[in-house]
Amino acid sequence: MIKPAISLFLSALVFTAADTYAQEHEPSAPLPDNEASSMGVVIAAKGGAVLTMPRGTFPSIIVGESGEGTGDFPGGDSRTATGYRWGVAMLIPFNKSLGLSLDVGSMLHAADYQATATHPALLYRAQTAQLGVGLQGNIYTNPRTFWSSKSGVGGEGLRAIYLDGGVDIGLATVANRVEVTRTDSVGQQQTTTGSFENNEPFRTPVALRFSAGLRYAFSPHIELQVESGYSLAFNSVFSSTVLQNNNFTVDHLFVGLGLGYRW
Amino acid sequence: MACVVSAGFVSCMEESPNPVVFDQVLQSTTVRNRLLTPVIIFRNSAPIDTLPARTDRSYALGQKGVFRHAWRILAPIGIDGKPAGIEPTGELGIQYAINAEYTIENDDAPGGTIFTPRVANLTGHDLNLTANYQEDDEFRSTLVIARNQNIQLTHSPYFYWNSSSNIVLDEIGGPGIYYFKRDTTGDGGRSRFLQIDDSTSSYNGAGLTMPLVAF
Repeated sequence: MIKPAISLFLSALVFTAADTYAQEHEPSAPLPDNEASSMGVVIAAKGGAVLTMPRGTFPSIIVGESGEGTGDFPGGDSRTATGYRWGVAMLIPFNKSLGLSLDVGSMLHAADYQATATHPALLYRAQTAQLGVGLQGNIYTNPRTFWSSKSGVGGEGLRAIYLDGGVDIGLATVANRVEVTRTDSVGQQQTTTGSFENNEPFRTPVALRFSAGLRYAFSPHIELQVESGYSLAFNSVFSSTVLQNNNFTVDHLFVGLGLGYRW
Repeated sequence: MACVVSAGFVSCMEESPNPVVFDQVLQSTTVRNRLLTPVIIFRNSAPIDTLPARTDRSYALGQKGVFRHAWRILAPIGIDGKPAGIEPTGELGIQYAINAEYTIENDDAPGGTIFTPRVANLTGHDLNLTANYQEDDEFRSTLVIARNQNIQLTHSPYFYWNSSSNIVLDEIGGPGIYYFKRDTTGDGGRSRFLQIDDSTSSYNGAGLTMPLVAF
């Protein structure tokens, strides 16, 4: 009785596998017009909100030709500040479940400190040119979203859920701005603005990036990307040749959307 | 929101003209002069030193605040009492480093790369020098290069280097004219080649040309 049972089980297994394989490859014959490849490159316009969480101490600064020092800004006085990020993202698949992800864009982030008895309020903003490089792996894929029938049925729906990990590099600080707000003796708030004149004070920031997202297909070639990620900074914002013993770093949480084309 | 293109990137944030510096005592400023001419060093628009050719020097600071440095070429004086070369002023910007180091080279000048001609006068006459003859930035100097002598490399005249740069040497009291050009093709051998010498490590950053021999 055991041998027929094993044979039946193996037959069922082969049948199931063959049926699954057939379902995955069924459209390859008649519908080349409306078909994207799961191995196709994806290029997307991507953007979203950035929440910045500073770590360490923002250094005491002098704003203006004859200003006075602000005092240090401990990390405990910071508030989560919002910015944004936009750019172009690219996915180059190695196979159906793993690919190289590239991301080039611009990020505006901020560090916000509330006033205390030892320092005024501070809002520091910087815009950096970013390059992200990582590996993206699908934990779910729906092969039916890569093709539609001649009548236009199919080719839409949840296409993939993925995890992404890599590095996020700030290639250059494009612009920066500091706003220091003091309360004078009569209770009026006075805001002084300033900027670091050049890139000498800044390091090239490198962060470890983890993200998770999904791809939703509107058609075989057009897909929406929804992604959330976290960047954990490796190094401090300010160069050690300019400012010694400073550990001010910025981590970012990104939530965004992308609209892409898949070949 | 207005966006501008800066350094090849799009910026959507307005920077403030007000400078920001760190609240720390700056200790020193070191300037390396790679040019073959003295330069005047300025701190917050006030001259603090004349730095000789091919010399490094440190200047103590010991203060907090906004400090901008700049340099200006001190050209040799011609026989008419006027500078015999250009005297551009280069900005070194705000000092952020506690011990800052700046290097002045021939491609750091405002307005473009500059050069200085390395002239050997083997003729029996004194020579008068004109740079970039018949170009937009022609400079007729009254610098005299004495007979059987080389041009001084401790106080040399500088001129802008462009695609048509040239040097003309006229014999004073004689008929000779010596013409050196960057592009000598098609002129029937009337001119000789003018080229910045990048191969001599001892003159790196000076903008010195290969020897221009008048004989």
